Amino acid sequence: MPRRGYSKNVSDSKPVVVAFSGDLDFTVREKLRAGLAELAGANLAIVDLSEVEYMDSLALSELVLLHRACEKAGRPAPRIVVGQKIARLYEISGLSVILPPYRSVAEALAD
Amino acid sequence: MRHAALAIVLLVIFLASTLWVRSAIARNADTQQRLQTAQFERGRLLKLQLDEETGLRGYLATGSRVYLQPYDSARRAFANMYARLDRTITELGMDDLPVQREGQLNAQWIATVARPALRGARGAQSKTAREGKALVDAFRATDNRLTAAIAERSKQVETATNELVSRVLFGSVALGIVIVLVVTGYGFAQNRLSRRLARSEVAYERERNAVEALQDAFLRPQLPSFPNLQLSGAYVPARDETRVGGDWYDAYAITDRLLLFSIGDVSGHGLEAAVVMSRVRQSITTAALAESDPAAVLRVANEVLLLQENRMVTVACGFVDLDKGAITYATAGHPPMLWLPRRGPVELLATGGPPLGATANPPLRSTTVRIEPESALVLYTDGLTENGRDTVAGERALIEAVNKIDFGSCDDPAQTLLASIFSGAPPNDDVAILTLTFARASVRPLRTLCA
Repeated sequence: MPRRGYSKNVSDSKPVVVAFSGDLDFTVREKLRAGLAELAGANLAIVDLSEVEYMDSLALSELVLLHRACEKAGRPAPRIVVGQKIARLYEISGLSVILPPYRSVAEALAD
Repeated sequence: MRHAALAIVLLVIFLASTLWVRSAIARNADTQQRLQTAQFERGRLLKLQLDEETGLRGYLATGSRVYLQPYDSARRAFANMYARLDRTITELGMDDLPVQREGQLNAQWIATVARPALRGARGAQSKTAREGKALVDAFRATDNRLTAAIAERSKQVETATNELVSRVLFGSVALGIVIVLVVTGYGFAQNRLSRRLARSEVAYERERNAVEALQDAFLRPQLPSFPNLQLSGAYVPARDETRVGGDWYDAYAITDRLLLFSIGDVSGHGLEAAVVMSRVRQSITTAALAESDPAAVLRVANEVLLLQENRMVTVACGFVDLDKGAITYATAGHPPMLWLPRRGPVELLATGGPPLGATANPPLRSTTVRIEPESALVLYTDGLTENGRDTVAGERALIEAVNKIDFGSCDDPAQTLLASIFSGAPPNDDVAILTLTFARASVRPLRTLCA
């Protein structure tokens, strides 16, 4: 389920964080999309998946689409915070090659 | 639901109006009956008055008492008939009718005409003739008024009944038309709904059939046969029919010593995913005819995918070169292949780049594994390990299952593995498996055998 981020300020250089939790599968696809849409236009997009327990390939592909949108707009790649529960899944997905996982939002913000 | 409520309301209106009309018609029929009775009693009363008069006149003319018989019997009956008529008229609510007047006239006739005449009073004869005629004429006139009034009332009731009947007829027809319209409208709506349902079912069925047809074509590839290399493939669609589509495995003999294999998973499901799958497979096969480096093959497939689609695809693909005794492979976001050496534990082969469709110029690299005799390679899609949504546990279960299979003697390791993981229950997601089993003699070059 998408959760409101820590900051929603899109206009200036502040990063925007959107957090999700639980299982991200096709049943919550629209919510996932709506959550990620809040990142559109953010100077730095941070996706907090530390409370996520499972992601299907469609959910992973939404992250890929976000990455491609950032690439296209010339903005930095989104920073993905990955928790223990999906660490292996995220590693296998190959997304870690282009979107290296962060262990916490603080780490993602500090980088 | 709205139609049902409307139908009930109409039915209630219909029943209530039917009951009301029935009682109204019964009431009118009852009134008519009473009016007929009143008419009869009025006639009888007039006749009694006339009988009295006729009897008296006969007696006075003849002096015979025989003529007094009708006079006497009429006199006896008059009071009773008078009371009956009076009651009937009261019951009809026609109290303004001059029934009492008839009673008074009769009483006056008895007192001033009949009694004096019977007593044989002087001058009674002429008085009888004069007064008697005037009183009886007045009686007749009153009776005429009664007759007319009762007939008039009867006509009114009849008209009212007729009007009621015609109104009921009109109402019934109107109500009937409304009911027919409602029922027709309901039927029409139902019909349209069921047609639409049937249409969407047909569309759904068609898509499913198309997906299945595509997958049948894609997933029962004639796996090539090689000496000393056994290929085995398996595919199960997702339990939920709408989630079918997107997984594949492939194997082609590029030469009789060079095998191309691939396995992959297009994100998403349905016909669209199946179409993307076919394109990606095609571009991999096409690229593999020109490129001998799997990473280069996947780079071509990635470029083609980025041109055409907004999809993410995970792939593992590679070449088995029997002459060199080596497997070269590259993976893009795909779960690690399992390598079963002749001795030693199962290995998860190193994975490489991001999924296809994620980025331009992805960091993809090729890896080479030396083929050993009596070794095996297992490729699969994530439906096999993520059925319980726990990747780590899924991988562990897979390794356990693989360890139990004797690849050297097993006819169909892919099916065996599938059965062992799911024990017959359909998986939540599509699952594809491809296994390559290298026989004891597989690494010996053909040339050496011939020499």
